[in-house]
Amino acid sequence: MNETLRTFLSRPAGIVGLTILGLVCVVALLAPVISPGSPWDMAGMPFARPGEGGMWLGSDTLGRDVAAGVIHGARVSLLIGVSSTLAALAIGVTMGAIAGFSGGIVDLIIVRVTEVFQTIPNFVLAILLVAILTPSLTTIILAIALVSWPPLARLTRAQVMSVSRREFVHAARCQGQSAVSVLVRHVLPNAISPIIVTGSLTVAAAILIEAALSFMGLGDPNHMSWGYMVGAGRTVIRQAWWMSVFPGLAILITVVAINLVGEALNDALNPRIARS
Amino acid sequence: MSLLSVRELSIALPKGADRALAVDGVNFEIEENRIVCLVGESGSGKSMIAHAILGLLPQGVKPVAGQIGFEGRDLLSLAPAEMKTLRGAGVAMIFQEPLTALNPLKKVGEQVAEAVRIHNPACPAATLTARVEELFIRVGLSDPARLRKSFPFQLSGGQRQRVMIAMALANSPKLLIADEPTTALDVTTQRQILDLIKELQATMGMGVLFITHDIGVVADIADRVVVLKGGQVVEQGDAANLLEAPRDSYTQMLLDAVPGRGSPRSGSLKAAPLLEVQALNKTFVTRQGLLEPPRRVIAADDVQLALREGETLAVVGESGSGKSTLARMVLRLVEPDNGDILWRGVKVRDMNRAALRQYRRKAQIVFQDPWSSLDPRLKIGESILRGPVAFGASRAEAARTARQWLERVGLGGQAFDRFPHEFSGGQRQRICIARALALDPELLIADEAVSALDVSVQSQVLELLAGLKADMGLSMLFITHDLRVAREIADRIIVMQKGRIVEQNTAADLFGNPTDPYTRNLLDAVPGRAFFDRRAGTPILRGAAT
Repeated sequence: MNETLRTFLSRPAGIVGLTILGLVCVVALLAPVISPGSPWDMAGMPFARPGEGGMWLGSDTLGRDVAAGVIHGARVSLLIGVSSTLAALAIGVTMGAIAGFSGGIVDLIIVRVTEVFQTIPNFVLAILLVAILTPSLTTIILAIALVSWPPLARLTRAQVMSVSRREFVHAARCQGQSAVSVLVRHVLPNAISPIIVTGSLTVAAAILIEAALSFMGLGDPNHMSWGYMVGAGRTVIRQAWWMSVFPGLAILITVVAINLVGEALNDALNPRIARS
Repeated sequence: MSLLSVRELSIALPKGADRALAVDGVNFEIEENRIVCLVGESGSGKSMIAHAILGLLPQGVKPVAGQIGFEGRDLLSLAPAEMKTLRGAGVAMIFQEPLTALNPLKKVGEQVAEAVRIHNPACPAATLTARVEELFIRVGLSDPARLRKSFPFQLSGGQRQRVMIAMALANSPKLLIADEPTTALDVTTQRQILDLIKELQATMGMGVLFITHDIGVVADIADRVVVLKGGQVVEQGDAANLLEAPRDSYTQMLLDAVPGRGSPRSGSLKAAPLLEVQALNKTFVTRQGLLEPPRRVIAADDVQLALREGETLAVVGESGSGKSTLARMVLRLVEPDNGDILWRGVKVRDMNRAALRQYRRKAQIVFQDPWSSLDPRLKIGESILRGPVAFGASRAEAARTARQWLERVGLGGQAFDRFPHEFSGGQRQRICIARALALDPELLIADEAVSALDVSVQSQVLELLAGLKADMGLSMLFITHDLRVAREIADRIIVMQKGRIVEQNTAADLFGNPTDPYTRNLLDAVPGRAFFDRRAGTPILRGAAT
């Protein structure tokens, strides 16, 4: 583990990504302290330029502080990104591990189900699910998880299949360990590295899907989010660019940071790269 | 003047390696038209020397002193561009594993043609094809017009190594470096490749640097021998003198470690059969494409055998003979198509899950590859104690058992808290044996358990197995491709070819009087046989030829 950490920290991408991501997390955690009050409240004149009236990122069409929105939006974006990825991992890893380890008819059925999900365009399915279930944090997380698990399941299945063929797995079976114990204690720990990496990139994808949903007006109406701000500012982008550009930049920076972390993780967890 | 002269060569390893210098002050020369064998165990630095000659050392490993003289130039101070023109033209190399050394996506003929074209870009296509076919014929590949258009995976291991040799010969090099070129091959194929290298060397007048850990191979082909240990030359000289009268104890040890020189065990046991295999069949069918017929590989064809209590039965065969599949079918890791496996008269194939678990406890297996048969993320102790724990022992009790077994296999209890990567191949194999024996089995299946090890380590592990067997009254099913190893340990030997048992006899009778021509072939192909026969004074590995 020490070795892994050292490789991770030796990649500039990893350090930069982790620093930015850390900042975003701090901002999200301390949002009520940095910017007290609701981001939905009017804070000054509508259409105030950045810096005007004490609002350093300006105000939107209804006079709400863009800076406060960006700060509070970080909470929603991160929450949705992380929890929907965890949910997707739970579904994907379970399905993939069962398929890869048991093989035969079970494998066939799970692979077919995965393929059905993969043939439907992600985003269309997400819109459909949120629209049917009425938008709220929970339904958005659920919808994103349901469209994000198939790639994780396929990856897990391939990993589990290749690790299962190694001799220490046969040896564990011959030792009399039960199938579940072999899978959970021997196969999965040796298969998990690329799944963690893909999982970290799924967080970025989830943030983007959430932003897109909110942009289309399918976000949780009780929570300020970056996607909603971009969507709301879109009609006046030529008169007031700051309304959509700043939340857009926030999305960009966060997603890039997560991708950098994911890439460094990939290097760190890949023993062949880590050793050199 | 010698063709290649290595003077005071020292190669430094990166910090944190097990020693500072991989190669330490090595001197030797290769004359034109001679075969020099570099022999040593893994980690002796022999491959490093070969790679240094071609400037192919891995990152972080650097030559720090000495010269490598070739045609009046020092190869260590050559510019990268000059080195490029030298590689493949003046000096060529063949590698251990021909499957990974060839590009899997390119036809082998094109790969050989490429080797020609790199050093002769103006060569017209027709001449190129003719040259490739000529090279193929020269390395003994019949039907070059067809083989030229094959992909590496369509060829056998021996054919792939021949292609590699053709590629190396493409520009008539003066020096050929062969890095363990036969280690991954079957005995009979190894014999053919050794003969081929020797013949090509003689007809083309090349110098050859042949790297190997097997002193039997050395005895067969070397003109001169350099013995390496821990990066230093312990002894060098003419092959005949050095092998007949080694001065250094290490060389002596290498010679003594070659298995199969004691007298084979004789006499058959009259105990009750522990394991019986009856009319076992297994065919693997792989679909190749929509239109092509599926490929069928027969792994077991009416296999019939019995293993008595306390007996060691060796199953010998080349790759593809179905010997490993047999071991896996016995444990039901692979399901046979039909036939029966009887454990003390009970049908293994009819066992339910609980019974199968109890059976597998009594019949343990040690696998071939010491690198993949231990979970890399678990401490050694944890790997071992999970077995007893799965059968109801408490953790403390199981840990005690694990420590005892680690002591017994010669590693000591401190191995308990370490990870697999901290151990060498031989040590790992000991750990695997401890893991199997911690369950107190009655039958130990060793699936090529010593094949991946150096000869000297091999003999230590074989000794350990023989000792354990005597102490515990174990029965053993010993799968191997090496007749010498079988001779060392087995009471009875079964020879398999393409899923069929071709001969089955007591060890003494099989070596003394082999009846099947295939068995005789295998016996004849044993490397260094003539030398060791002569050395022992009496023909010990007797075959039909004597």
